[in-house]
Amino acid sequence: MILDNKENSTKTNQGWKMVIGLEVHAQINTKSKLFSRASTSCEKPNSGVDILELALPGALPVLNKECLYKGITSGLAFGMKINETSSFDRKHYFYPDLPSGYQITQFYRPIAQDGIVKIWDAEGNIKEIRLNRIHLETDAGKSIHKNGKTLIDLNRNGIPLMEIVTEPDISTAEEAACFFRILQATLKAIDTCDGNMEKGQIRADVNVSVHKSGDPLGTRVEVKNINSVRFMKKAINYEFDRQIALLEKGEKINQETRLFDENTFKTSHMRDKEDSSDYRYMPDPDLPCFTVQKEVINSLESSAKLPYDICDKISKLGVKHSDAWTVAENPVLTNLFLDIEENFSTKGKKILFNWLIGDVSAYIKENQNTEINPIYLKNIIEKLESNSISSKVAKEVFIESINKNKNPLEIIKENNLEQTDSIEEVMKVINQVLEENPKELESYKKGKTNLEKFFLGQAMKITKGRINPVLLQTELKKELSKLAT
Amino acid sequence: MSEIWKLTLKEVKDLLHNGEVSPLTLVHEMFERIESQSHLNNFITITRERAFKSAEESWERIKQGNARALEGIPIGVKDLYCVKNERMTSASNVLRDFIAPYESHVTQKLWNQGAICLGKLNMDEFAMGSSNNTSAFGPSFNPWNYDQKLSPGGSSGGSASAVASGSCFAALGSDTGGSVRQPASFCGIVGFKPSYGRCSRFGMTAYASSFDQAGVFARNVEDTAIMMNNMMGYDPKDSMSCSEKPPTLDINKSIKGKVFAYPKNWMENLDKHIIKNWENCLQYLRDAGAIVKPIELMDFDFYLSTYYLLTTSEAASNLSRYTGVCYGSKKQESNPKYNATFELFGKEVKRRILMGVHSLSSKNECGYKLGLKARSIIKNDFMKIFEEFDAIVYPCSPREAFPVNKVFENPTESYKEDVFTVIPNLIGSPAMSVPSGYGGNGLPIGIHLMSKPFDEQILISTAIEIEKRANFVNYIKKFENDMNENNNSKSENSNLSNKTDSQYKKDVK
Repeated sequence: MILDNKENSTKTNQGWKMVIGLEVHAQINTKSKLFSRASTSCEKPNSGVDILELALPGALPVLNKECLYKGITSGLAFGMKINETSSFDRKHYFYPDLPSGYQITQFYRPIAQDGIVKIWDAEGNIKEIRLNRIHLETDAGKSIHKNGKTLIDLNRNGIPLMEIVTEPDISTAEEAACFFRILQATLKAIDTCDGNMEKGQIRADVNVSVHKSGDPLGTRVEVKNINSVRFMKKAINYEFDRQIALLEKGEKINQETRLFDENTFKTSHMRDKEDSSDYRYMPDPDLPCFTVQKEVINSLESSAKLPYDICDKISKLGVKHSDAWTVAENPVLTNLFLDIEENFSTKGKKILFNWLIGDVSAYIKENQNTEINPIYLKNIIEKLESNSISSKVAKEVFIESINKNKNPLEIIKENNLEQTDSIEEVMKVINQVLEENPKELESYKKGKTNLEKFFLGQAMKITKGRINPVLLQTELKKELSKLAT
Repeated sequence: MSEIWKLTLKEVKDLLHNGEVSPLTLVHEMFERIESQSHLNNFITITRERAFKSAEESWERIKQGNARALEGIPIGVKDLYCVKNERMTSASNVLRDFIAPYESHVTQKLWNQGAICLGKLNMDEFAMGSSNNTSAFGPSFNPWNYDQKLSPGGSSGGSASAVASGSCFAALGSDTGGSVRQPASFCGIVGFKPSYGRCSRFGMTAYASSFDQAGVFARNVEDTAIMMNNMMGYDPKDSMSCSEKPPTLDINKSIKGKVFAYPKNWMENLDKHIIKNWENCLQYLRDAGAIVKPIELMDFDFYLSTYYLLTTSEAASNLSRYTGVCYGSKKQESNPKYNATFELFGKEVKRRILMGVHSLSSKNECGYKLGLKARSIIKNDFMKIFEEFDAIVYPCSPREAFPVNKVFENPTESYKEDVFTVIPNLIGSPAMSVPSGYGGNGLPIGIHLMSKPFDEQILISTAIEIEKRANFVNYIKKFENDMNENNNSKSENSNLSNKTDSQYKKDVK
């Protein structure tokens, strides 16, 4: 589903190649901030603020160890090397929403380095995107510019972030989107980031450069302010076209930071790289080095099934990765799949998969907080696998079983819903329909043959999908043709 | 009882505990004393209401027999500790109107033991200075010779002067490179800086975070030990604080057989009184049964450059919070730029911020990173020395107190005031200054003791031996004697000559 996007720029064919790297900021889902006890979930402006966020004289940072552990857990999920000892540094810049004048980050010794995220391209080929590092850092506050004044909300100041930096291994907007979604779903699955882009829980800066095959890499441009995966693709493709246009005119690419505009889908100049301040990094003298014992690191390895692995597993059923991803990225669907898949043959697993991306997905979308009993689903899929019920019946039974919290087998039994192949029963229904609709029968006899569909519909109504529809249709046809002659 | 302010902390503690003096009377007398010494400009803020309220509570406790370790003892607090709901200026115009909304860990510990806060004491702006001359509230003066406007030293000058002149029984200071020990030496009292991490920095305005440490002033070693025993201790709110249980400092431990080092190569070019005083102290230690051996240390400049490289960098970082967004006068509408506060800093603070920004610049190869390397070399050198020696002994300052308006030829000349005191801060060691004699001008001179990190006890044991043997009379006792003999205060100090600035400069050389 991810790659079924036709926005891919056409210029790929003219020898231009794109080199993309991402810097993802993911908010670690802890109750309190990275270095203070202030809450991370305050809504009212400036209510989630401790003396540290205000940078009062004498305020000191104290590491929230849970953030460290969640950082390690995240690194492990991407097979990264975890640094047993990591440390924090100050990155200085002046901005009104950064009261201390510096951000606390991990410049010299990040928590995790060197990992891999596997993605797939449009043809379903697997590609590896290397992760350079994950480091922990504090978020800054929020400046709201209004009527010529600037209002400052410090609730976000000090919020724990993981900055996840890729190597420039990504080649298209679709790959970038695929990578980002896998990253997002993985962090959600291991419960280190809630991953809601709209709430700013995860966001990405994109570095884009273009060059021709065989030529050295081009000058890279950073694009900020990307708030959805859709915008990420738009921004990348806009940059691709913009940079190629410049180069083909013989102009140079300026190394700069650009802002994406959600209304025009364009990027615009924000600042030159030379203008960016010297951050004057220094080890934070208020914080010691943190050492995490090997045993602790090992114990942090998450037992959660990773979305990529699930996707891979489903793809082995002969399903495209991009389709399998629909189940893999959704924890509810994933759990349902994993809970019951081993009861089925490949055929049953495929039915299960199709059900998950079809009826179950649809149901979940409409009934967000309802739990689905995996045993009920298993019972229904079993009946479907053995052709004992029609998919129409299955759907109704599925919904009824959830609504009434009743075993679908009971519902099927009580309502006598098992599909039948008995000719006697089929004939009984056909005769009933013809008797109950004499007018239509007359018209049919006079040549209105398209009324066949009407009779079929009436028959289906009576049988409630209990009878094999193919059989019903064949027999109905036979019967009608007898009458017509 | 009259002139109770002349007593030591231990003496007044006993009187209070025995109910022989009421904390209320005591506090009342202390404020009278402070008033009579107001020309010394020691207090930036007087916390009168708080003091009387605490005194009442102390009186109740004493009556009920529930007296705590420091019940009813009036002390002063350097104005860089947050005391809840009191003004905390750090002697800067930037924080002139700042009311602390929370309590520092060290002051909380003292209040928990019943100590009473008389007020907030003058200091160099943001603790940057060695003469108390950089305070936005004007300098504090040394009681030893007010007429000559002598400096009490810095940066904790107000604290030292207040304790020396009898305005409080002890006072909190802070020590980043000698800010407790040098003023103690200048004012003829004891100044103690524990190991880095022994006292929490929570609630203390930061100057250079990896150097800053709480310290204390008292009139003798025993009082110092009593105070320190109630200040040291782990605080989870300071990530750099030491989780190990601190020692209970004991004044009755012998130094017999302990081995002391003195850097013999530093004796060259020093003032003869300073050398004499140093040699006397080494003899006291031998007399107490200790072994004294010479060692060679690097030239002062190496330590001093490393210290200034690192401290200015950390200062530039720590002070970057004082922008006009949260601090500084909101009334200054003429300059709405958010970094307008820079104008409010004094000259010295500005200078150090600029030096620090320069040291931290990514293109500066000889900056902060080089300083960190040098620091680790220095640490290793000293840890080797401490494998063989229990403590190192040398003068606290190259000179006696100088006039507060003394003009140094250039700013780095003034930085040389710290030559002897920066080493313990570079390596995290505890250190102290003990009054041990007088210089050529009849002003006090302190001897400087340092040990390996977390061995505070050896310093107290050594200081007691020096205190016993040194023929040193503090300002109050001298003053008191004068009163008794001819009622002509300060005449005893008449050997203080009226030297001019240029003469002082000669002395330095």
